Amino acid sequence: MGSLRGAFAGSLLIGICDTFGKAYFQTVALFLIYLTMIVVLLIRPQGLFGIKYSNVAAAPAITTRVGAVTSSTRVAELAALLALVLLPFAVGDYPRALVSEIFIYGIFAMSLDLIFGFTGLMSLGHAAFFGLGAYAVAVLGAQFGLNAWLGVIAGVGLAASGAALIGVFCVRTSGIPFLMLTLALSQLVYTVALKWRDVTGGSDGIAVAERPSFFGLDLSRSLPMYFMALIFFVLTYWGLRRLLNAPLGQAFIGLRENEQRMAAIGYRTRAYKLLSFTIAGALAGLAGGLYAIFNGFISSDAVYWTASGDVLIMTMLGGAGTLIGPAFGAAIFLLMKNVVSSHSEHWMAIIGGVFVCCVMFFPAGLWGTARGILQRAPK
Amino acid sequence: MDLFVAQLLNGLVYGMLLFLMAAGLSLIFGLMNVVNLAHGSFFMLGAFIGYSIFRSTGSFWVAFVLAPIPVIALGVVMEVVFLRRLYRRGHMDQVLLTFGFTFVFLDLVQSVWGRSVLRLPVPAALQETVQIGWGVFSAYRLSLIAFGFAVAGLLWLLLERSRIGAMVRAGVDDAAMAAGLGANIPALFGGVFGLGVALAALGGVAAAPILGVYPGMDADILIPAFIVTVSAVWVACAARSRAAC
Amino acid sequence: MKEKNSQGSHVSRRRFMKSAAGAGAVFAQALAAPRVHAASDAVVRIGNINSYTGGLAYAGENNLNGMNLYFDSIGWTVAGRKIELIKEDDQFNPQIGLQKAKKLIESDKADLIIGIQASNVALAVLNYMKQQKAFYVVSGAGTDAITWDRYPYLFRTSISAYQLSMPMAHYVYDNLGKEIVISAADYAGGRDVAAEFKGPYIARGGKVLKEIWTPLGTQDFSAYLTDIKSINPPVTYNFMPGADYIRFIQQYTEFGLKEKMQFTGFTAIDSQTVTALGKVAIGVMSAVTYTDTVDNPESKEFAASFKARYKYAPDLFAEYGYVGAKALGEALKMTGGDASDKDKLAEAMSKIEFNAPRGPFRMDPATHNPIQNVYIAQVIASGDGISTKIIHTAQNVQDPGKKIY
Repeated sequence: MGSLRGAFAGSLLIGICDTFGKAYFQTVALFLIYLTMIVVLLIRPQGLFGIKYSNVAAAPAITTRVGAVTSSTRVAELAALLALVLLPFAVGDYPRALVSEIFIYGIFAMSLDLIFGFTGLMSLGHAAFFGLGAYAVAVLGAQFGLNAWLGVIAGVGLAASGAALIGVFCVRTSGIPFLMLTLALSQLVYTVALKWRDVTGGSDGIAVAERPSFFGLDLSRSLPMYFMALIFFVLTYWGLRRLLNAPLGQAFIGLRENEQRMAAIGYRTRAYKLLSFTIAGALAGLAGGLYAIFNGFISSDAVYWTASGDVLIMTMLGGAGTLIGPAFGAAIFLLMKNVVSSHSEHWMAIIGGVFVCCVMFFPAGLWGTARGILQRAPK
Repeated sequence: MDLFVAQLLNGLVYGMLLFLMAAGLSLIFGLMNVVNLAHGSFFMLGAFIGYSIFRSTGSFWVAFVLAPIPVIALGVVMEVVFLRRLYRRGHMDQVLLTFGFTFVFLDLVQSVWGRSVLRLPVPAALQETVQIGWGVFSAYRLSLIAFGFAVAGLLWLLLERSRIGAMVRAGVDDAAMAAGLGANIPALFGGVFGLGVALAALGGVAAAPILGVYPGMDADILIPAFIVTVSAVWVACAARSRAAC
Repeated sequence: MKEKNSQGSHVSRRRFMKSAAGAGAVFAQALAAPRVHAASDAVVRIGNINSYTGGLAYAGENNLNGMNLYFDSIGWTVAGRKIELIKEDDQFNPQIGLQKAKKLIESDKADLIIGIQASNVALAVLNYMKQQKAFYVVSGAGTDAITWDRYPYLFRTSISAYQLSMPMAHYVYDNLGKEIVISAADYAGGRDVAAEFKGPYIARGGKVLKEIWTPLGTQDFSAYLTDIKSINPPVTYNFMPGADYIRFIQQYTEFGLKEKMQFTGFTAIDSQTVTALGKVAIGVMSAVTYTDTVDNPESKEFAASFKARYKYAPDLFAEYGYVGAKALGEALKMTGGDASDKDKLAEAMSKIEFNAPRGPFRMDPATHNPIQNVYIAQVIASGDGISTKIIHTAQNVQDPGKKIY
């Protein structure tokens, strides 16, 4: 059984690499390990653990699509938008900030949903693009005094090109090897953020020099910040929905459903995957840039693979492949993280319990399951 | 050269600790196709329970033998009650579930044992030290290397040379076919999961005298073990003939 | 939410259910309109941030216990006003610490924030506190940079990296060795502690043979220790936060380095080195401001009442918390319990001077960092167990409050 032998030799290899790395290559030790991992995955993706992946479902088999825009959904959406516009006038600074953060993470989670829920590729490295966007704002501001909005634009560009570059390697694979490759490549980005202390501040982080204004409104106040985040959130949602209902989006979904058939009818599947990955990366960069403006601080933790795990969990919680679901997932996740931990000694057990319940009782995510029930209900 | 040998041995010791984790992780992944993020929690629980047994009996060896038992029970319950229902649902659901459990277990540990760093001393019989090159090695570290090799050998025997092993291998290749040929797949899965958990818990007790016992040791070991499980690829390939890979 | 008994909490089903039910209500509350603080002038709201999970969890908990001990002693009232302590966990993560600070200031309307053990968290929070012009008492983190900006509403009641490292550097050079290897955790705290040692040590004529940066959360230090062994310096200076430190000292001893090269450190003697490591810690030498063997009446009384309340001996983190709370309490007494006028409170804080368990404590009005004694202490065998012995005292050490090394 290959996996046992592999695990044994792999453990010794990593143990020894780690030891020698610590002793002789302090700064690049981590980098070397991830680089090795990437090379391995690129050369032998199919050999992972000595088992085949073709029969493994990459993503939960959700066959729902973004529905055509009917009048009833349009009414529901307008009502929801109205509620979101009115909400900040009913609450204080802190809830406004909390919801602003949810919008930003909502953008991040929806961008992951494009690649994960709709194109069927599980990425565990999405935080790298979020980080590129955020660091662009913070570092360009600190080093060159660049305006934060220009930083956001630069960040989106950087994230998109980063995603395209990483994507070129990753789209050669799918399933678990894809997940591992994105993990390893994003860890390279993390290593740079961690070790390039002079520029990024490493694990101590870097502060965003100053908050920009938003059409003349002062973003250090909670209300303009809220509307700024809301506007970007709605634009992203609207744009992604247009995209998914367009032929291009249908092609992405086709890739998820049956890649071989798409190839057979003449689609250049890799190019489409790469495009989906790049768009998702750019949107994650946007979310990162907005987050840097919102939070005023960014540290290497935001690029660590657990951060990629967090956004994946937001997407799963809400329901992968439902577009708006992941935004709900982000809301639940952030509320739990920020609110429950302040009020209970046992917040971790509560969060863990919620995850367990969600996965057991809402197989298609909260939004996916709820929508399934609504659709089945007689009209 | 002396320095090189010493560092090599250091690497081996750490590698063996990783192996106890990675062996379980990749067994569970290889057979059951389950990504188990709670594996680090079993490592941590093993260490903490071992600590408590040591405190009440005063013997490291009793702790070493007994500590995995409650952890195995916990792991098997998790598999039977929760994970089993998710096998048909793809990896992400398993990741989410086991990720949820890491929180629950960490909270459990902090509630029962507190937040301090606890210490499980090296057993008296293995406190002697040996000078090798520039390194000084306690008998305990050296015996960890031996223990790692022994575990690897026993696992190999179990999987390659026993009837159960044959069934496991059949299950890896094609679970449905193996079931058709009379293998009890649910029991087999439960058993392999239990074995993986046992290895993690044993690793936790074995590592405790070196790494200490503290809440958070779950994530600290899971991350490198996860990387190992991934790089297992390359070594698995290199070890076999290239064509077979 | 007064934190009364965090020590030795056990999972009880009832408590768990209660908190689970509470969580639901909390969601609703978080989104509801801000409470109107009609009685806000009657209550002093103190926000507390510490690391209650992660490698510094025990330090955070001890710090809080020290604060609670002081607030208990004054009946949670100062100048007729009730004191309310709202506790938050930064999880040793600057990002989360910043979020918690926002929550405390914006949602809980805390009058000030006290606490923070982790240097990187303290720095991340500082930036936000400046934007908000909020009052900030650091009762832990020793990073130097925090006082460099001279933010008028910031006070530190613990120590600075310079304050402990400088006397230690002089002591090491004079008594232990002219060559050294420095190992420190790769984060703000570790970088500062190493730099503030290296500067004075080299200035006096010493030579640093190697600097080793260990990533936070390093498990196995054997590679570094073997490296140190091959360099073979007469003495080493080491600092890692919390659980990393315990592992490092443990493995340092296991590798037999302690007999060959004296271990010197920075706040290395705390409750964990004493209780978790036990005899393994014998011989460890460290610069500290407090151990439970500091010989003065305040120290004896503090140790006795702390032990009576929490059933274990206080350590320096507990003392940081106690002294921080006491300094704040004394300042609030001077302002008549008024925490809303920050200039008045800052002026009162600048004048704080009392005999603390660590010895004479005097706030430096220029740097907002205390002027205090620094002890070079060593863990020694004592009967069946272990104890600490103060072998050298540097009197009235003052922080420069600016970058010099």
